[in-house]
Amino acid sequence: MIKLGQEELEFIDNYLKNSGVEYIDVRLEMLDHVASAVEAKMKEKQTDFYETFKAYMVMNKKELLKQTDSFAKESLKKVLQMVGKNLFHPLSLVITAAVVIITVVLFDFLKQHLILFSLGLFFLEFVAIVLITKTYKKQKYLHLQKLVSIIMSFDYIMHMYVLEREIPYYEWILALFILINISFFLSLYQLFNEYKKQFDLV
Amino acid sequence: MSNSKLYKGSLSTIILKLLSKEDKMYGYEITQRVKELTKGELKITEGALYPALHKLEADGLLEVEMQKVDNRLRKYYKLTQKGTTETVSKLEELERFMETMNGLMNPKPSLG
Repeated sequence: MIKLGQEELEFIDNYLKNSGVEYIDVRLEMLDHVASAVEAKMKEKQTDFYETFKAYMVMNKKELLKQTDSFAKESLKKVLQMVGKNLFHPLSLVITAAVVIITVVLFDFLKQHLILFSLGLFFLEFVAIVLITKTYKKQKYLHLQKLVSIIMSFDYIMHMYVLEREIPYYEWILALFILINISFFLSLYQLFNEYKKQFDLV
Repeated sequence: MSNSKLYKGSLSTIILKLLSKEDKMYGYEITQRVKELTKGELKITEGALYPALHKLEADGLLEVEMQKVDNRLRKYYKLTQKGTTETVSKLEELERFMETMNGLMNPKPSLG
């Protein structure tokens, strides 16, 4: 049975990366598929690695790369489902209730410093996201990246157009904002653990 | 999926059926098993297989397990509880479809 060596596997991985498959969770599965197919062809036709790999890519590259778009779509679905589910997580509800109580008590003070308060929240979120995403092996993971980009866009819009103004029902809008954010962070934590469990073998 | 658009709608059912017979399978293994079972008549392409697998996973019908095999990581798919239930109903649906098609293609001559 022919088995590809480390150098050949790295060659395939670099080829896929250079073809635009930037996320490691998508690329690892493709790498295994291509390597399995190339090994089988090398055995069947008694050809060398480079010749077999080139022939395989000529025939299958288009089909192979087709899956990246569908993976991105399914990823969006997966992370939104996680966030939706975590909205009802006991931790989300408890923290949100605590924040709402504090906000109601301190609302007269907060009203005078809304911009500062909003920027403070934004800074805390930013630090948390950077800490979580940068700690993991400098690789790009699709679901993680997708979730972070949703959090950042949502928070940016909320800070720019909602939280920095004195609007009616401010406490309740803030409560909803906090609840959604806690749910995002819980999802981020769950994804992080999921990846750790799956990819720590790398 | 190469040869026929007719098979396209049944791809999820094919995957679920194969996984119901095995503990777990990986992508390339599924393509080879289908090729072998259909004697080369049906060839599932990467562009059709992986989107279907990812959709089944996102829908909670499949779960994944990573394993290090031959110096690389391999992603295995296995049925969840929901997937096992869904397989039964999908197979029944497919069977009804085949019976209907059979009735249409080979109508029994009426006696009247």
